Amino acid sequence: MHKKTVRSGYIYRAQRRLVILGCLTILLLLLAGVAATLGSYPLGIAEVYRTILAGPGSGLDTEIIVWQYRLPRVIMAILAGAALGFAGAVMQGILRNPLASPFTLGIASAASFGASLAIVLGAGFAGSGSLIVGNAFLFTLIAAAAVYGLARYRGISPETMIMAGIAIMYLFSAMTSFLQYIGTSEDVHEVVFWMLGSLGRSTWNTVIVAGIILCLIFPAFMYMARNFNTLAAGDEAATSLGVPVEHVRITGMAGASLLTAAVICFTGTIGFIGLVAPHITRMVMGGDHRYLLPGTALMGSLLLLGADSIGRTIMAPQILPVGIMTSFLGVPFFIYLFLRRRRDYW
Amino acid sequence: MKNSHLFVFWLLIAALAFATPASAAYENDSEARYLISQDILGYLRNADQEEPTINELYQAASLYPEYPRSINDSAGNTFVFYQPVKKVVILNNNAADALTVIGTDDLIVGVAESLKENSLQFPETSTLPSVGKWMEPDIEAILALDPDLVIAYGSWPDPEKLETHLPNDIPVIRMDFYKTETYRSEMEAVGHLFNKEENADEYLEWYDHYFDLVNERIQDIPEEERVRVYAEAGEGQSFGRRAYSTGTGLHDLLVAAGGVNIAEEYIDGYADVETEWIIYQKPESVLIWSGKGGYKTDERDLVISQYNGFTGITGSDKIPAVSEGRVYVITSSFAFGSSSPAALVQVGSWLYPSRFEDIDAQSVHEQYLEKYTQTAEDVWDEGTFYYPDGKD
Amino acid sequence: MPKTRILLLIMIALMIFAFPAGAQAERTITNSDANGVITVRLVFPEGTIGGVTEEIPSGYEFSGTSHPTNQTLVEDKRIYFAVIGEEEIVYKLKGTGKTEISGTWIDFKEEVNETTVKKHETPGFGLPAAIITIAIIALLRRQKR
Repeated sequence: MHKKTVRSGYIYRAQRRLVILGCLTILLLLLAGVAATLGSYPLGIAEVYRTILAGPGSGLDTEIIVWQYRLPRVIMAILAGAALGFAGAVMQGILRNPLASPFTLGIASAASFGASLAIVLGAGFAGSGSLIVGNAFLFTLIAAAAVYGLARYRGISPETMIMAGIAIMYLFSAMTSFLQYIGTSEDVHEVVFWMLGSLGRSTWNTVIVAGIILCLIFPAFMYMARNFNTLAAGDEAATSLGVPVEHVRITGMAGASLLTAAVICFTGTIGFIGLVAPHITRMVMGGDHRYLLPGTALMGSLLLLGADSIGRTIMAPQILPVGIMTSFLGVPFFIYLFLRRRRDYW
Repeated sequence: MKNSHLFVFWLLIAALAFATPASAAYENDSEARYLISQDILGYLRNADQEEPTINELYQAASLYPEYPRSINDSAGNTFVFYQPVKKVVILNNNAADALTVIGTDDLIVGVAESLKENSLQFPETSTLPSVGKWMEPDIEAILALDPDLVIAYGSWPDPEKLETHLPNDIPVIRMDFYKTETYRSEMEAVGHLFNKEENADEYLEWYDHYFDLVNERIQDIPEEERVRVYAEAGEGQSFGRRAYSTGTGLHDLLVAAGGVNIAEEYIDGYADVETEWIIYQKPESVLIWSGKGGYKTDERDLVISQYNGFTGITGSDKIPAVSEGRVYVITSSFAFGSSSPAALVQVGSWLYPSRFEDIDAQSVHEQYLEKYTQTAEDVWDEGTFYYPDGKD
Repeated sequence: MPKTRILLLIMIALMIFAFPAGAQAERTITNSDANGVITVRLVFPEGTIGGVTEEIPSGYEFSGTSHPTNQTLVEDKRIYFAVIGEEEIVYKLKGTGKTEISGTWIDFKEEVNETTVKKHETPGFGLPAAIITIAIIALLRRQKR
């Protein structure tokens, strides 16, 4: 008789998760490979890969299209998706709330306000894009600090943080609306579109910045993965098991905010990825953060890259805003998985 | 002749003068005749009806046949006026532009906020009180001015924000004054409304002259030789590059000038497009719309940055329009509205320089500025209506 | 002779001022012809902008008019006319019975409301008659000398 010991069961599950991670990675690479061949400039698959292998710098039409437009966009989609998914998983972990997302703490509103401020007060158009980027980033961090400052008064518990986050969100939303009101109609237009989110502004520079930040924060979070696991048991239980609950929470929040800021200052607010990717991943491989975090990053990348690719091919040469596409893709898939699973996965 | 005979003689002459039946008192002015007779019959039938009242009919009769007069606006509403309009509130620059052209800008009593900043284009009108924004009118301010008429765009502001709050005796005329397909009829209507048909006709003659002229010169260009143009909204109008196609003003302008819009077969209206598609299409000329500049003298840099915003995109040297220097920014205050014939000539000379060699597009524009605007002489030099304009 | 002159001047003044003040709409009705059609003729002062309401007598119905259709409205027992400069309206009624028509009119230009349309008096004191009278008097006086 085959005796299933606890240990072998555990190993089995761990291996299964690693396999899933592997599959997700392969899937992502495949999707990236396909995405690079998609676009309104007609290039054959072979031509695309030849250009990729030939490296940048030739100055030919094909090189510019592939190396200056498509590859940065594809890589940015991967990085942004990973960052958002990642941040979402962390937020859901430290707040113990399935509805938490990178934007729960009012970060999206703050970034929008920062961008609006830059636009409406005469930063002009994307020519001064760096002002918009810088401002969005700055205000995201201000929001995170504000949430922290507010929550400190009542103790850094999930409830206080969420409430503080909501307060910050409304504050920045109101201020953004006010800016829109006093601005001219063209400025208002620009703000609205910035908030819809787009990967079209991706360049190698933005890719590098986002990539660096992700590379720094990812290992740090992986290091804290076990603590996130323990946190799920409740603050008191975690404290008694030696987890520095407040510290973990603050670090998690800071890291998630930084990650999100690094992405949305370039892309605008892309919703849903941070909310949906952790859930889908959790349904597939459970809540162990040591696997959940990388899994969510991969899932986020897949979702965002998929959404963007569809958004720019379905009505070519017209592109649909990626924020709209993520909603279209995320929701039905999420509902499907939710209905399919009988047991409570949360 | 004896004195008494002379007296009788002149008396008979006088009698004849009185006795001669007068010729028909009113010519067959059909619109006014129809309107007033409908009102009279309506009144006779039911003197208790709300309108017209007996006093209104007394007034209408005293002004006949100049009034009543009726016009249709661009939202399909019909308006009947029984007396001259003396006070007008306008909610946007285009309406002010139209009234300036026909010479009734002195009747304006209140203007939209955005117009108050437009002191170069409207030196006098911009000093008038503000009535709120073009999309968010200040009803109290409008009522305080007690106008006879309000003019607003066809689609903005929403009637919920305007008509529903105004009494019946302040009609709201919905006219755009910038769309090619309705501009001419709107100018005729407004000329008729203000009893300035002559001025409107004179302007329309100038308008037609240049439209016909350009049309003549480009109509025989064979399809394959037509210039392929990419028209876009300039940066900041969307999250990507917003191309203009059929149904947009810029499209109509470039087509009237003989160009072919590369986006025509792919999209309707406007849509954001991938930059790589633009590179693929390799347009020979690029027209960029800008809402800045024009009469706002401190916005030249913004117009130039629109220009650079396109020429600076990655891979732009692959686009013939950029490598051959045929990228143009055109401002909305030049391209649409009463100056549109001058804009048409300008675009025509950009697209087909050889066919318009004999016409100096700049002087057509200057001529327009002198004749049909309130502006001072050197406005062409001070403003930035398109770029490049040879000033730097 | 001064006296004559004064008399003449008074008569002229009367004519000049009497004519417009007395100006109103007047109606003439012809007698019924073989088919029972009567013709009604309304006259108006020159340059009138006004409205007429004619009551159709019992036993009759409206049977046509020369007035523009846009300016005419016929209802059960009434005809409404909008007068825009016309000096005459002719309309026909068909039927039998007493030919007594009443009607009211409004002169919008002179702001005179709701007066009845008078029956037209057969040519009495008219201007041409007055002139001839004066002329005759003047000639008689001359002859007297």
